[in-house]
Order: sequence, then C-alpha cells, then structure tokens
Amino acid sequence: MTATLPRYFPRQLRDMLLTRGAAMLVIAVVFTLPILMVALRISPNGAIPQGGAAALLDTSLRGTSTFLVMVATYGIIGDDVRRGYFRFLFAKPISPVLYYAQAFLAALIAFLAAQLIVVAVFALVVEPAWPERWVLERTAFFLSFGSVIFALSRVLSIDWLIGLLFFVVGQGVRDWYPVSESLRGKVFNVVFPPSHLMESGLFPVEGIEWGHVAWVVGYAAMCLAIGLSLVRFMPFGTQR
Amino acid sequence: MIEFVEVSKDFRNFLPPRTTHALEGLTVTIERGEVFGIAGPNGAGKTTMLALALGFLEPTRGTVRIDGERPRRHVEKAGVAYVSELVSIPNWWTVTGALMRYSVLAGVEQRDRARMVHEAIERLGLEEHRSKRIKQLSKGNLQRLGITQALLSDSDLVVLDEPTHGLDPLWTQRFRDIVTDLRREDRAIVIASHNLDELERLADRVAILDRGSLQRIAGTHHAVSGEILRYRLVLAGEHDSVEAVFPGAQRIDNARQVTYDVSGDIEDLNARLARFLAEGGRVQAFFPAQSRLEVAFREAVGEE
Repeated sequence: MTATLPRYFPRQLRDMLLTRGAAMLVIAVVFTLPILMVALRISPNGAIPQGGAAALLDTSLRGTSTFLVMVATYGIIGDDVRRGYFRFLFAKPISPVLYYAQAFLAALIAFLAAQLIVVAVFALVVEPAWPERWVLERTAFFLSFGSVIFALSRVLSIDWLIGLLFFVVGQGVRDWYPVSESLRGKVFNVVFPPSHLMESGLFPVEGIEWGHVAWVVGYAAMCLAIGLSLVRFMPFGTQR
Repeated sequence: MIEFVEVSKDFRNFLPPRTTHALEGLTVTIERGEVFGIAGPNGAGKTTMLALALGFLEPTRGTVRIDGERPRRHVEKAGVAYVSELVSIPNWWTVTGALMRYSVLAGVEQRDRARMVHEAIERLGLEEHRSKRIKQLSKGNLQRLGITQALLSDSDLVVLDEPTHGLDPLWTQRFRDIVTDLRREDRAIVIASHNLDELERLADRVAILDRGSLQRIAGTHHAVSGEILRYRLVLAGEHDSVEAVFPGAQRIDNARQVTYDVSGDIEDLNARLARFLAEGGRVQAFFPAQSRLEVAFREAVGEE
C-alpha cells in the first residue's frame, strides 16, 4: 500500500464542483447577463460594434471574478477543521500541506470552469469571442486574491470577508500613499495584493512586463506559504 | 511504541483569560502487542491524550513519540486506524463514496479498493446503507461507518475514542470481536472509553485518568492465587450449608434469587465450591461481585 494523494485529486475537484458549483454557475450567469443586456441596449441598433465583443467579454469576466474567487476559496482549510473532517482525513498517511495545496489547485480549476461559463453565456447571447490571454489574466487574478483568502482560511471563519476587505483596502491605500512618495507607501505596496498590476492586464499582447508577473506570482506564493505553514504548524486541535 | 514522557497540555483562553490544564505530567508507554485502555470521567483528558498521540495537538510540556518519531511525522508516514467519538464525515458523501475516498487516502491500491471496501461494509453490516448519504444514517450506523473506515488500513497503530458510542448491544458485542481479531504482535491498540466493562473485556492494561492526571495503571489480568476478591454466588434453591462452607457469606436480601456475596482467593473459593456441590448444593451462577477495574477506578477517582 502506498500513499497516493495525487490520486485523490479528482475527488477533491469533484467535491469542489458539487458543493460550490451551483453557486458559481449562478454568479456566472446572473452577473453576466445584466452587463450584456445593458451593453446591447446602449449599442447602436442593439449590436456590439466591430471588435467590441472581446472587450465586453473581458469586462464580464473581470466583473464576475471577485465573487467567483470568494466562492471557490472560502473556508478552504477552516471548514475541515471546524467541522471535524480533519480527524479521519489526517489520520491517513498523507501530508495535510499537500492536501490543501491540491485543494487550492482544485479551486483554481473550478474558478476557470466558471469563467468558461461566462464565455459560453456571452457566445449565446452576443457572439462567440475570445479575449486575448484571458486564461492567464484570470489565473493571475485568482492567484493574487484567492491566495489571500487561503492564507486567512486556517484562522478565520470569515476568511472571504476579511480577504475582500484586504483586497479593497489595498486598492485605496495605493492611491492615498503612492509608492514613490513615502516609505509607508512602499511597505503598503508590498503588503497588499498587487491588484493595480492587473487593471490594464498583466499579459498584454504588445509585451509582457515579466517583473509584474513575477510580483503577482511571488505574492501568491508568499500567501500560499503562510496558509500552508499554518496548516503545518498550527495544531488541528480536538474540535468536533 | 507510543511514549508519553512528562506530558502536560494546557489550553489557554484569552477572553476571559483562563488556562485549563487538560493533562498534567503524564508518563506512560504503550507497547506493541497490547490493547491499552484509557478510562476516566468526563474532562479527565482521554481525548486530549489521543489527540496528542495522533499529532492533532502538541504538548505544552514533555514529549510524545511513536517509534521514536514525532506523532505527526509517524502518522503522515504510516497512518493510524482511528475512530473518533463523534464521527464527522461530509454529509453529501455516500457510504460507499466515503469509504472509497478514505481507502485512496489510506493508500489502498486501486485493484484492491473495491474489494476491501465491499468486505469492510459487509463486516460492519452496512450493506443496506451502502448507497445512502451520510446525512441519512442513524447515529449507530454513522459510528459503524467510522469503525469501517478505520479498518480499511492495515496500520500497526489503532486508536479508538469511545468506539461503541451510539452502538446497540448487538454491535457492541460484534465490535469486541473485531478488536479481538485486530490483536497482533506488532500492533498496539488504544481504546478510550467510559465503559469499564468494555475495557475490562478488551484491554490488557488500563490507564485511569482524573482531572488531567494519571491516577494509576490497572491490570485486567485474571484473578491470581492469594488475591482476595468478592464474588456473587447464585443458588438454584435454598441450602443449609452455605454459611458453613463459605464463612462470612452475606445473603443479599432483596435479590430475586437465593444470592450470597462471598470473599476469598480463587483457589480457596474453587475448593469450597466443590465441597458445596458435593454436599448437594446447586449453583446457578458464580461471578465477580465487582469488576476489578471498577474497584480500581473508584479508588483512583476518589469515589466511595
């Protein structure tokens, strides 16, 4: 008998889709349709101008991303601890750290699947479109925001809310304390999620700023490392 | 196999500030090949002791080792067959689905998985519930599922926390048979239970905890010569020679049958029983008036 955590991954993905898929589907459809209806109504003759479809779809994808990340990642670690599922899981010969790293990957796949539904809805209601490098852009967004919720999940039951506040406050703080003007600005710039790097796209066709990509990936890696360290070193306890 | 050395565990609460001493200076070694019981009143520290053995908690002071390794490291490497007092399994899983998942995590090879799950389901009598969701199971069936998932692995350490909690008498008896089957030279079985009768039947030694401290370790071996114990003698009818054959025998007045309490060592009592039968007495039953573990438990926790 060998410990085969990777073989468990399809079941983690299935659980993710079974428990959160319905909510993600609703968000993908309900949040996308109004954007499209308004856009079609204000467009001349009710048709999207030439070349505008991809931009509109990109707006829809961005508009649903925040909620989809929250649904995909809330309680990703903490639920197992609070509900006591950890006791049978981690009496088995597996590493909890790897288990939750896999869970985060499952959440990313579920998130991208939900974004694909937005693309499908757009194709049905407007016209088929495929914004440049949207998978990379949305993956980067998931990493920068989802990793914050992941880091908080072991210690907070309202990880999604605190994660959202952290994300939103970070955007405001960057405006109030510009990075070039004070040490405080520089510190905040590093501490808060790099959402500002994604406003105009992290992977533009005209040339990728690899320093920005490294920042986003590094920030996500740091948050994931914090979350996984809490899994590794914080006792699960005896919760029922 | 499992070694607790001067282990203490405190739980700190910040608001209001308060420290609870769940375990205090616990030193005990559990060997391979034995069934080790843990008894104690509510809040004695039984579940904390097991959580430390599984690495779900870290001791505040002292060390816990399994085969010389930190518990978490050992569990991640070898796994533990563990049944918790309250069984928590995601309620949207089915019985078979849950067991298939746990068998994957236990490292059961794919070719053996379906067979092992099927056998485990049969062994614990869950056939008719195999496609039910967890939320549809009764408390007893959920407990049986908890035991079933533990049996999927061939671990050399079995940890059972109140394993018969919620089981009916029939399944409590079958559970005892299962534990007997699990006994192996290279395996340690640890059982925490309120049920002293169960521990007396299953365990070789029983640690009695009270308010976080180890009070004593009681053996549950058979009665030996020279040990004075109290037994209950139930007769099939009145007989004049009882008090002559068993000096000091006390009649239990409100018993439904002719019943006496007699004391003595096991050799002496057997000789007297033989004499009583030879004199025409008819014995319906002869059994310990009190379990030895029960006596030890009462002494240890300070009850009369």
